[in-house]
Amino acid sequence: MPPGAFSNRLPHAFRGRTVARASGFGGGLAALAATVAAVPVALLVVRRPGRASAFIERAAYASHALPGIVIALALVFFGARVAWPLYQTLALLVFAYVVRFLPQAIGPCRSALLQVRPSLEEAARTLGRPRWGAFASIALPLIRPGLVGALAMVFLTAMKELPATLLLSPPGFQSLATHIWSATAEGFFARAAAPALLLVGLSGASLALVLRTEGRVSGG
Amino acid sequence: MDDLAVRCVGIRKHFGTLCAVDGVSLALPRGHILALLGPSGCGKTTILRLLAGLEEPEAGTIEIGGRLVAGPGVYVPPERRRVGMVFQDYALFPHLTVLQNVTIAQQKVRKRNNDEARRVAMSVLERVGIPEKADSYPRQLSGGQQQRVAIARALAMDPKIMLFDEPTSALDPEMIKEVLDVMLDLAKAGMTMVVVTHEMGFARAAADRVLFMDEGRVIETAAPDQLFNNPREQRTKLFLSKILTH
Repeated sequence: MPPGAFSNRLPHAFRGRTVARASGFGGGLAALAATVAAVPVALLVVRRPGRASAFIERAAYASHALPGIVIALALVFFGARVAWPLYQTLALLVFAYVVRFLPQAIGPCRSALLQVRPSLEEAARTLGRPRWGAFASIALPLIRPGLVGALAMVFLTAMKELPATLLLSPPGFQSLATHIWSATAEGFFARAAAPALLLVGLSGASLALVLRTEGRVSGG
Repeated sequence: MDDLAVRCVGIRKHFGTLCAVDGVSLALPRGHILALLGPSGCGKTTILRLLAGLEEPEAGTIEIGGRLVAGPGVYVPPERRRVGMVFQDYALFPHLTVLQNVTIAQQKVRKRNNDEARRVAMSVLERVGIPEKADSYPRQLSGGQQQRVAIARALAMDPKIMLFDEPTSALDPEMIKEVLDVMLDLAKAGMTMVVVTHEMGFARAAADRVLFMDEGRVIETAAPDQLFNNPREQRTKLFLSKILTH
């Protein structure tokens, strides 16, 4: 992460970068954060099914059901009134992405975990590995296709996201989606064409990755 | 100090409202083999899991090799019990070769170097009769071969006792013998074993004691000849009559 990414102003290293790279950086951070957050939720749902895990999973899906503008406005209020050091920082934008797209990461992680029999980790534990060591050395490599699917899915969606990005972006930050939106709003359609084509290309590549990993997760 | 490999006193375990193990006590001297028999759901597997540390008892105590591993305020996790366990579904790591399955824990836990881990692995693979499969992946092996790899993997960690959870129940009839032969060899070599099995022939031939359970309780414990030929309890007779006549 570039130094100062969480400050009110965009970091130096960021300013000279293209919109595509800034957009990719934001989407990548969101994908990573959402996938990291999704793994414990998926673990809880798969390995400890019950009321608590069902509540947590449904809460994640409930946030996904809310319109992006509602979440964005809520976070603007939260950032401005409560967590003001975070207001208009990349951190708050990434948090908004995670809130919105967490279920998209939970799905592939859960599917992958369902195919890892608990006896594998139990065997690793009887062979001397502690709980998290057993998970890291046995389950994690086996759910890798699901993790890649989750990363690609969130990356794909975050790149296209508009309302939260418009409201929560740090000053000077433009994603491909906001760049296209502002160019077309001002009537500069030609200026919007290249970023739009790039966005379609990136989305297509992410989708291909998702479909490929989906096949692996389902054993196809 | 007595020479017991395993001693359980009054262990109890519930899953929700179901009482899986209800006040079970047992003692197993070193080098002996205990066969656990009983109908499905009687608590046999839960006993193994309690011994392995995969479940924690709500009451009672468990000692392994004279060391208290579970009891009031004490719980030693599975990774620190040095108990080998062989699972019904083999539980081989599918992304690793047979050799890697047998060496990974040696390297990460015992800190053996590559050469030493490989030497130990090949030695245990020879012991179970499949050294030529070292570079194969589990999916390339038959069920019997996979179960033998699982046994080799556990043996490579020098366990104090071996636990077998219905090791032949997922196998084709013709593959059952190859696994039972390996287990008989282990028995002859003096390995302390607790075996959940429906293989009455194995229990009769290899076990020093047979423990019959029902509804989480021990119904009867006896030497194999006595339990199979002259069971004391009516419930044991009923169970054996159903098993042995089919």
